[in-house]
Amino acid sequence: MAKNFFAEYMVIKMIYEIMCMGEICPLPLIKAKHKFEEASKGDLIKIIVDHRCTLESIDNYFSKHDYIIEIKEVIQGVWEIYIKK
Amino acid sequence: MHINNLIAFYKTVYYKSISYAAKELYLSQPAISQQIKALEKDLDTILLKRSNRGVEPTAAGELVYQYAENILNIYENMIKDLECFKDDCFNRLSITSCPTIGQYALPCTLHEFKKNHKNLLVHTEHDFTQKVIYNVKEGSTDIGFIEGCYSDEYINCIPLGKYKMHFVASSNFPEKILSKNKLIHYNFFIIHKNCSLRKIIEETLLNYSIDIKKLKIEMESPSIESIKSSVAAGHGLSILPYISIKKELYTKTLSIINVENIDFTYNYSLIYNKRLKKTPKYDFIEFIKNNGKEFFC
Repeated sequence: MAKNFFAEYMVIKMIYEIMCMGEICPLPLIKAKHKFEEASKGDLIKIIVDHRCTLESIDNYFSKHDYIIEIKEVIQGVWEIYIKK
Repeated sequence: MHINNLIAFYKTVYYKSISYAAKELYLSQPAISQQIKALEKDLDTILLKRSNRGVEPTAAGELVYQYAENILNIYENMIKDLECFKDDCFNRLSITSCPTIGQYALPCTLHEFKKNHKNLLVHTEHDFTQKVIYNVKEGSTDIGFIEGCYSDEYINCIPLGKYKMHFVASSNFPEKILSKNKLIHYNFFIIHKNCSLRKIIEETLLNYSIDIKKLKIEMESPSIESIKSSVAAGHGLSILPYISIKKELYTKTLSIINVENIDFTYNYSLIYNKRLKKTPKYDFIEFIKNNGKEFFC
């Protein structure tokens, strides 16, 4: 996964970051969808969440289309989700 | 006894003034006076001392005031339940929660629960554990979330899991490891005495033979947010629950300090009154029982 991640990383044009710490469902998912629509092909979106259910809802929504690149649990209970359009 | 008379009396004592009570209840002052007199007649006791400096409850009035608070809380809960009943949304759930769970863990859980319960109106409040237990016992709230565990003849308790607290400092703080003897050199911002977390902190420190009274306590606050900002500004140390500092740890405004592996672990649990039977309310308890651990991350 990690190797793949960096290979993909090379062709990325823009990186967006969405900070969703302390935000309540469904806000993070709405923000992510919104940003995803705005972004152009090849852009990377990094979403930072701190609730397991937020993680699941975003994962469910984007992995349907294989957009999720990586999910990292950075510190206990905080996840970074990388989505590439 | 008319409930309106009780309300008039309660508001008058609350504001220590008949005119304020009249204003809030959209009544004239003589009307309020009359209602209170009627209440005094019903109860056959003088409740208010009237003087030219305003009103004051008598000793008996003080007693009635305390009961009035409970009676009116239950009454209000009944009225709201009844409104829901009329509006076809049968399910009204009132939850009182201790601040950490209420602010950081509960909103997400409620959202998840509401996905499958469309007609649910949730009413949440934050209060300290002691008050939560009291509210559940007297029936003014359906479900409570507390730190620690509590059960008695009226209350059932479902333990949900464990949280941890840590010593925290601003991320500029030079040390990552401290010995406990050095703690007395730093200022502390500690959760207020009314919060049950404070008791857990004191007990744990005592187990490691640290007397909290010997620490330099700069400020006590019931608000975790205000403690966080003081600590982040570098004014001193604190002991805070992990769940409340995740964001600050991630953005590196706060960092955890290891003090001789002192471990503040505490339980949190859900409590409800044993009289609670109505299904939608009970559904929530089942939901938390089955999924609580997942959502309370």
